[in-house]
Parts: sequence; structure tokens; C-alpha cells
Amino acid sequence: MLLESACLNFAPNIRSPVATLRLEKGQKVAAKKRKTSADLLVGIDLGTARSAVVTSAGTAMWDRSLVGWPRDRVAKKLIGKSVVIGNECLQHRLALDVTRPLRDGVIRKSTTRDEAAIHALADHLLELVGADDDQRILAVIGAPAEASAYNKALLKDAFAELVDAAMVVSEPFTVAYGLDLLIDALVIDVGAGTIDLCIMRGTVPAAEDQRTIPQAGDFIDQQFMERLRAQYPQAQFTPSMAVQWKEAHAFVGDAHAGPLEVSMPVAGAPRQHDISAALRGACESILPHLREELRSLIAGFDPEFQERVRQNVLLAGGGSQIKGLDAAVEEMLEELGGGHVRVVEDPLFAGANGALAIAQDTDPEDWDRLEQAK
Amino acid sequence: MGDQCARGDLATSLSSHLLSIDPSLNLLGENSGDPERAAAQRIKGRIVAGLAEDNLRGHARPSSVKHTARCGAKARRRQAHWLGASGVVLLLVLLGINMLGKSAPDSPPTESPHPLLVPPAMALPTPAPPAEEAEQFLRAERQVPLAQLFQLGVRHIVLDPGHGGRDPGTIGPRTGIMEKEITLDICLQAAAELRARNGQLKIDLTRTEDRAVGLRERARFANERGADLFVSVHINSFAGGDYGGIETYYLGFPSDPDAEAAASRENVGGTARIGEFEALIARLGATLKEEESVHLAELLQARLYGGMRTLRGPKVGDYGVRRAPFLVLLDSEMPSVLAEVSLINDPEEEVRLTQATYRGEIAHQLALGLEDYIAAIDDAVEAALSGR
Ligand SMILES: Nc1ncnc2c1ncn2[C@@H]1O[C@H](COP(=O)(O)OP(=O)(O)O)[C@@H](O)[C@H]1O
Ligand SMILES: [Mg+2]
Ligand SMILES: [Zn+2]
Repeated sequence: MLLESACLNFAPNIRSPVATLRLEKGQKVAAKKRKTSADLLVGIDLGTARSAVVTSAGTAMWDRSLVGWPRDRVAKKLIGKSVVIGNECLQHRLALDVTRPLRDGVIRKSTTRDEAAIHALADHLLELVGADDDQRILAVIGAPAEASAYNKALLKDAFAELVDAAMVVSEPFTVAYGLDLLIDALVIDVGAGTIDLCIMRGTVPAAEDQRTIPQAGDFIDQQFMERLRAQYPQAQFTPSMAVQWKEAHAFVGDAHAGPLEVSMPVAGAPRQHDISAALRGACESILPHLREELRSLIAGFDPEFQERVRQNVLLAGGGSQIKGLDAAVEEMLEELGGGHVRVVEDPLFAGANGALAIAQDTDPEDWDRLEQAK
Repeated sequence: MGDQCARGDLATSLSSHLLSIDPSLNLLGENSGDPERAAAQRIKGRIVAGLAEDNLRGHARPSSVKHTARCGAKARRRQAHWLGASGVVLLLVLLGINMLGKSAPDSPPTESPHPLLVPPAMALPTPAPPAEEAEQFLRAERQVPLAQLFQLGVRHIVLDPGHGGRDPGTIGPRTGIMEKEITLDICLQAAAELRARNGQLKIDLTRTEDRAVGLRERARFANERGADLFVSVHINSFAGGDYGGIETYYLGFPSDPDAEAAASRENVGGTARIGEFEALIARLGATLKEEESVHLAELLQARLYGGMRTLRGPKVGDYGVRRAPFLVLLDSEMPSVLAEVSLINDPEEEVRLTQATYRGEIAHQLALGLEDYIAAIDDAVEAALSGR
């Protein structure tokens, strides 16, 4: 659970991950006037790898879902904090025990320490929002689909003292909601820890409408590194280099042709290596799992509904950026009668935007009740 | 290959995605007039109402927590400092450092008699004096009965029964007994025992019934009451064959030797300037809290493990005093520990834990450990004052 390698699985981000963007003008339409100005609506996507926050005031921020505890007093002194959150964990990774709370804590059995990590992350995200003291903060929190009811209560607890009212909602339902994919749609959210499939039928998805596949971005990373080691036993690379290459070039099928040359030292001297075969093999390693779940999920519905759903498939999450994945999924759908796949445009914020849309559409009276019930 | 999804989906609150994908399904389409739009809005309304309902039902908390939680939203902007910034507090720390330097210059924090003379009760009656006054006061320090002046010693303990409400903690696989029930009963019994033996002592519990309390709320509870000690009580559980053992945790990190060194250095001539101490105090605040937490953890661990061993024989593991960044300890402003007072995976132990008398035994050891600590502090204060 205290994985040193957890942070090594990520490319150190060159740019600051905490990017503040103003949402484009049109995107504020959903900010309905009926909420009082003292309410700040917040949409949060708590991911296993990355978490994003957007608000009705137009703030949009993200950071890595990492929480680091200094290993010892020297480390603590060096860093000057008792807990380090987000991208900063990468800077100090040698001095920290780094956890990914949404992966290590919520989904697995949670310990007091995992709870503490969740709280720390929640605190950090709300700090990014920077609300005024007199504002009521009303938050919708998107949590990993497979988080149990108890996990969700735990998440709510983590936010309880930070916000005035909160709802916890499953991912990738928030993505679907944000894109108005309310009926006859299928969302495939390719995240770091899991791929989540979610069928939309005009209601809050039930258990049978959802599937979780444990082979996703992290799995691709592992596969990629294994293949690289097998192919180039003398070449040296770090996990973060591998992830960087993956995120820059990931592809399946024929989406990329020709070699992909990167530099890796061999016996101290830099040498060019073609990573295209290893990368393609690694990215394709998730496809059999996806094919199987897709088939069993869709097969569970009546034929007419199946047809409509197949025509309305959305790829979301960081892994949706794998080149050719949409075509590969369309190929899978072909076996089931054909279909149409799109890729979400803003994988980083789609979940948080959806959560915000839910917050905005929630009846003010329901918010009041949620606040009372807190 | 699929096309990229258009930007601004949020914007067109009823987007045309469905329309663009399958014109026969233009339920949300803008060109089909208001009825469809209204239908889509109804779907959204229904979904969102369902979500609110789920959340209200699923994780509702008893209303007794309401106002604390409400305050908490604002309170998060308020940084908690154990020692605060007032001049009197500063002074007190300087005095503490002086005594620390004189009474036990090189002794590690865990040795007895315990060198620390500055207890965590920091609710001080006088306003902050200006710097010169403080220096004068500092010089006059030898004649001042500090213990009386600053009410040294442990007066107020907060016991924190782990888990509660919808959070059962570990559930005994054979009996179904829940950690939250055990911890509550042990705390109630320990509180009763401590009160009965020491009328001066104030004991509060973060919960006295089966209800959910947030981790930070627990720490805040103790902070708001100005408690001197905080003890969170849990039951250990390990997956697999290992039954686990008795262990007591304190927060985080060992004391900072640099801060100690700085303290003794600065105090040799008593000439340190007030301003120079500000950074030091921030560090010392953490250090003192931590040292005291270790001391408390050691005394509790000795009693809890000793008692358990007497009752159960050598089978029980002594996991000792350990540190970990528990949030419930992070936010508390006084010496704080988290004690795993029993182990639920051991089948025999699980059955015993269902018995109030056995829980009473554990409570008894907890009370003894706390009394050991109170006595150690009293001794240290007395020794320091009489030695002057
Ligand atoms: N351009 C890319 N190509 C392939 N994978 C990517 C790309 N960008 C990010 N990823 C991967 O997506 C995953 C993170 O996706 P995200 O949806 O943020 O996950 P989560 O919701 O679990 O936090 C990581 O495994 C990351 O390496
Ligand atoms: Mg996600
Ligand atoms: Zn516990």
C-alpha cells in the first residue's frame, strides 16, 4: 500500500499540473441563476491517477491523486511539511512514502492511514478552489465506480468538514451526464487503475449497467516496461520515462506506422531504440479484457436497446487518448452488429464538468436537505 | 474511427450529441421543439433527484453533528497551532527550554524523570506582554511557582472511541461484534474508572453513543475543549494468519534533534532575542507534542501489553510504540496517541471481547497507563521546581 513505485509510475510533469483555466464562455451557460451568489458549486473528479475540480465560478484545476508522507524526520525537515499532496510528491519522491489514496485506500480495504490520505487530498482540492468564507460550498464528487457504499460514506466524510453539502456519484456516470449522454449510451472510461463501462438508460445506472476491468493505464505501463526489458535487456530506463513515452505515443493496431525511436542508455552511452512494438503490444494487452466485458455487458440488454447503445459509445479517461482505440472498439462492436465510437474531447475535466453539471441541476431544496443532513 | 467530441458539451445544456449520432433518437435535439427538450429536462431532473435521494439516504448522519460540521467548512482556513503565537506562550516555552536544559541536558525524551515541563494546556489567563516584560519575567523565572501559575499537569483527557455509526470498524468474523461497540464500551469504562479515582480529572468522549464522527472532527473536539491529552482507541485486525498484537501509535516523526540543540544553545546565556525564537517555537510546538505523545504511548503500551500478557500469556504480540501519520492525530493540538488495545482476529480474543468484564480489564489497563503519565508529569514538575 505504501508504494514507492507508485509515484514512479508517473511521468514527472514538466509543466505544472495545477493549471488554472477559465472555462470557455459557452460553458458557463449551465450556471443557472437560481442559486444564490453565496453558493459556490463544485464538481470534483476523484481519479485513481488524477483528480480535477471545476467550479461555478469558472475555476478548473487538477492535480495528481498522490499523497506522500515524509519517511523520517530528515525528510520532514527537508520538505517542511507533514504531508505532501499531488505533483509535489514527484519532486520529493525519494523522501516520501507515496500513496494513491483512491487506488490504495478507497478501492482496497481502507486503513486509518488511507483515510488520512483521502482527507489530505480532499483538503488540497478544496484549497485549489479557494472559496470565499461567506460562500456556501455545494459539491458533487465523482468517485471510482467500484467504491463501495462504505467507501462513498468515507469520501463524504472526508469532504464533510470542507464543504457545506456534498453528493457522491459514481464515475463515469458524471462524464455521461456532463455530455448529456443520458439515454441509450455507453461510456468507456479508460483510467489508470480501471476501465469502467457504464450504460445510460435515463436513470442513475444500476449495478448491472456497470462493469469494471482492472486492466487499464497502470497495467499498460507494466506491460510496456516488461516488453521493453525483454526486447532491450541492456537498455536502461525508469518507470517515469516509460510512462512519458506511453503518454506521448500510445497506439493500437495500425494507428501508428514505422518505428518510434527514443534514447535509452546502454552501458552509460545513449542509444536510439525503437519502442513501437513494445508500446503497441502493451496498449493492445487491454483489448481482450475490454472485448469480453463489452460483449457480456451489451449482451445483457434486449436487441433493440443494444442497437441504440452500440451507436452511441463514448471513450473517456486518460486512456481514451490511445491512438486507434476508438477504431479498435468499433471493431469489437462489429462482432456485435456494428456501432459508432467517439472520443471525449477533454478527458481531464470531463468527469469534473459532469459533476458540476449535476450540482447545477440539483434542486436548491435538495441542496438544503443535503446540508441539513450533514 | 470515431470523431472527436465537440467542445462545449456543458454549454449547450441540451446538447445535440444524440442527434448527431442517431437522428432517429433526437430526444434531446433542438430542432424538434420544446416537448423533447422538456422530456430531456425531465430525465435530468429525475436522475438528479435520484442522486440526491441516494445521498440523503445512503450516508445521512445524525443531526447532533450538524453544527460542528457546518463550522468546519469555515474552520479549515484557520490553521491550528499547538502553541499559538502569544508572548506568554513564547515565554512559557522559553521557561520550558530552560528547565529542559538544566534538568536533563542529554537525556532522550523517553527517559525518566520526564524532562518536559510545559504541558499542553495553553489556555492562559493573561494577555501577551511586550518583549522586555517577557524578558524580565524570564529572568524572574526562578521565583515563580510555574506549576501553579500555568496550571501545569494533566487536567483534561479526551478519549476517542474509534469508528461509530455507519462505520463499524472491524467486524468479528465469528461473533459479529463490531469494533465501534468495543471501543465505545472500553472508553466509557475507562472514563468511569479514571473519574472515580481522581475527582480533579475531566474526561470527555468524542462520542458516547453509536454515531459517526469524522476523523478531524474528533481532533477538533479535543482542541475546542483545550484538552491536555487525546487517546484514540481501536482494535487491531490483521488479514491472513497473523493475529496481530497490541500497539500504540503516535503521529509522524521523531523529535527534531536540531530543535533540541538550538534550544539548549539559545538558553545557555538566556540572552536569546524573542524574535529569534519564533521559528524555533513553531518547530518546538511539534516537537514537544510529539515527545509527549511518545511518552504517553510508551506508558499506555506498557500497561496494555502487560495486562494482556497477564491475561493471555506470551501468545500476544508486543508491537510496541510506532509512529504513523494518522489524521486523527495530525490535527490534535495536544499529545495524542492511537492505541490498538486488542486484536479481533484471534478467535479466543474475539469471544472475550464480547464480554463486558473483559472489556473492563482493557479499560482498566488504559486507565492505569493514563495515570502513569499524569504521575510522570506531576513528578517532573515537582522535581524541576524543587531543584531550583
Ligand atoms: N495521451 C495518453 N495516451 C495514453 N494514455 C494516457 C495518455 N494520457 C494519460 N494517459 C493515461 O491515462 C491514465 C490516467 O487517466 P485518468 O482518466 O486521469 O485516470 P483516473 O480517472 O483513474 O485518475 C494513466 O494511466 C495515464 O498514463
Ligand atoms: Mg477517472
Ligand atoms: Zn479502528
